[in-house]
Amino acid sequence: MWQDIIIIFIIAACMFFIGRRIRRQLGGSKTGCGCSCSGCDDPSAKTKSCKTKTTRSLH
Amino acid sequence: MNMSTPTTIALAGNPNAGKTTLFNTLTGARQHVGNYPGVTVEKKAGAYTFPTGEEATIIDLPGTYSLTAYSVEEVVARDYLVQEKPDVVINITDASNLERNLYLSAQLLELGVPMIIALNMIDVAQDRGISLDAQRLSDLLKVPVIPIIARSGKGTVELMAAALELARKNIPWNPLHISYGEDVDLALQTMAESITTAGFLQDSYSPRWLALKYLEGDSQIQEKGRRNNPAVDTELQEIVTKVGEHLHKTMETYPEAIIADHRYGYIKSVLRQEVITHKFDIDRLHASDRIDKVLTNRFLGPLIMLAVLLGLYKFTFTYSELPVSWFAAFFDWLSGNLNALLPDGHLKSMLISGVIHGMGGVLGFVPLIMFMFFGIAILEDSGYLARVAFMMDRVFRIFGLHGSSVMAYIVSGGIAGGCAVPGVMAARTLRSPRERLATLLTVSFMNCGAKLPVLALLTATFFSRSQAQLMFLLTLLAWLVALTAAKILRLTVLRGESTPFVMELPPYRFPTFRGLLIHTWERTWQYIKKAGTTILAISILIWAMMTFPGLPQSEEENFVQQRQEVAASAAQTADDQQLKERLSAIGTAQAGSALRHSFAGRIGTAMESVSWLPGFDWRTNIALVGGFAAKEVIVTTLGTAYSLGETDPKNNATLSETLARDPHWNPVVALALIVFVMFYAPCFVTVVCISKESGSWKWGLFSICFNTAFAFLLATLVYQGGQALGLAG
Repeated sequence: MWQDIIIIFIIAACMFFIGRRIRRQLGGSKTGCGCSCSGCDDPSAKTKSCKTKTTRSLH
Repeated sequence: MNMSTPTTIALAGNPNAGKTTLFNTLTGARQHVGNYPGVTVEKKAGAYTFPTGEEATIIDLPGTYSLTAYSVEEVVARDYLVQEKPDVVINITDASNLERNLYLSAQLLELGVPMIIALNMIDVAQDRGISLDAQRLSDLLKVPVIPIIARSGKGTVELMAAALELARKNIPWNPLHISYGEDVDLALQTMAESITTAGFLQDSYSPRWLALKYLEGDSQIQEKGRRNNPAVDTELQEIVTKVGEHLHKTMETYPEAIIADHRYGYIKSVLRQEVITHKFDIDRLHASDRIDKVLTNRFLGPLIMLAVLLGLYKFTFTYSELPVSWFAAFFDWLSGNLNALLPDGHLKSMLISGVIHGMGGVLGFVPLIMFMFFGIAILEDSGYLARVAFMMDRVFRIFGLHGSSVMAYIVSGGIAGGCAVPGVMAARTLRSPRERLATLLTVSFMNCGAKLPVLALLTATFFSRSQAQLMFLLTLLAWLVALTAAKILRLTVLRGESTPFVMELPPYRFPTFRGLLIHTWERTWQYIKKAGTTILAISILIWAMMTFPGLPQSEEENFVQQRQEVAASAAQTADDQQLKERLSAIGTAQAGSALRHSFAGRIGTAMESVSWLPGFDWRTNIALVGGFAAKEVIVTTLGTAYSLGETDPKNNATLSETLARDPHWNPVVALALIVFVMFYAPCFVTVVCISKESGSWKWGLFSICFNTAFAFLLATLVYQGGQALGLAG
């Protein structure tokens, strides 16, 4: 029983983490620099520049 | 300047002039510095504290050759300067190529920004026999000029002191007026008057500068003008057309060329006034040029490039073999201990099958990744990667791509180990929207770092004797497929003319050992971080999907009954060995049945109706679905799937050994899977980036469908072809 409680807690934490990652990716900067391969908190990817304008549409 | 707010200092300059190096030196940041142009596509911000305690915000702008909106980075740099109006702009110039670098300086002076010129790489210039009189240049341009060496930090204190002094003066913007000849000057004057009278776009731009941009055909400014006041825009366009026709008639040229000629004329006139002197014969070939005579030779160059690539893989696979086996032994030891320590149950299963056999499979390749990144860092820091781009440029034109696409391909994993996300971002340097889109949609075909563990696992298992050679061939295959796909796109949905390209080759530099270690560690750490966070979480979720809901009660009872029957019959024969074997077989059948009955098992089994064509079983199908989240997940999922199906606690075989023993697997299946993994849908993060960079989700969706269909076709050809030829073994 105690194992199941731990398992449920771990799975919920993983779902929260992945959900947050997806939300940040989708809702991040318009220029796509909100997240990179190494994650959303990578300073080289997430900088002040993310607040800049969008790039031109290509279609 | 308001003393309570930090001084804003922007770093502007040509690509590869050393802006990011200076930015890192000043702010203590560790932004990636590459010995090739176009490292900075977006601007970055960092903090700097003066010795007086005053604060400054340093903005690293993308490298640009001009301030006319031809490419995205030019727009980013100019928009920042015009709209944000920094207190000071530090224009970083490559002192060894001063004439070309001053072209941007002239445009900054024309804009009128408070500016300091930093003469960077003054040591390189001196080595080339170039002597520069900074004071003389300062007197002529009427801006402070400070010689620096950004790499060592020499001169940066003086530079920042001059910047602070200039910021304190708070002088208004003072545009420089260069004469462009009678015709253009007259047109500029007329246009500036119209702009002033109508108050046209004057909140951000000076009238003469606006007029100049109209004459240069700056599409962004013209579009703004059209939206702001169509009547004035039409009037200005008429003048542009008139002067253009006149110049074409009289000189067979156009305004943009005249403007560029006069800017260079202005620069030459400045430099000739004892600013620059050559100690040696300037025709003497520099060391870099001499090396390039061999390394970029039309015939020898490509051969050397292929040899370097093969050497890189040989180096990586040869030297990483031993540390990879240490990692594997460590994870075996860990799982063995956990198995002995923990009571049976879901927690033990999750830790062993989900975490150790899942994430451990990815972490086990850390030494290999490290060796690969070290090799790539040598190529990059020395400047050889730029030569690879230069040589590939010729090939790219044949396939309808722009020379600038080469760097996007290389960043994405052109030499295995990159990442498609910065590759997609690097495509911003492309001016033609169609070429840019063709690049965006094909960069994900490169072998990024996430695909490496999958390729390494399968090549090590089924092609261990020729692992480096196979990786080399797979790299060539990735390029070939990406370029073919680009050509198909350029001939169909993205049809259009190719644009010309001039590749600038930075000088060769001897990489510093510290620099190599930093670059290697930065990338390896990203890999470890991703494995320890995202991959771990996905690995646990996939374990849960492979474990639940478990077998129905009736089937559980069926297996219990089978065990009882086996035990009863064994009691009569008293053969312990046979009993153990039969019980083990029942255990394996039960584990397999439970796995197939799980959520993931059902998905994988349903997909078998199609996946039999390229030879993928249900376990592989689950791994490939998981791979959409991140390609490393393919290894973790296979690890978990085979671990959950294993019932013998003493069996600590690695995933590689398990796959080699499994009757379903053979070299043809492995090759089909390698091909599929290389080319199927990009990972989720890349799809989002493609969508955002292209401005439409349609292209993100297109990349998923196009790539998967393409990969499925190739993998089916490999598998069915291999079967037909009897290579399956």
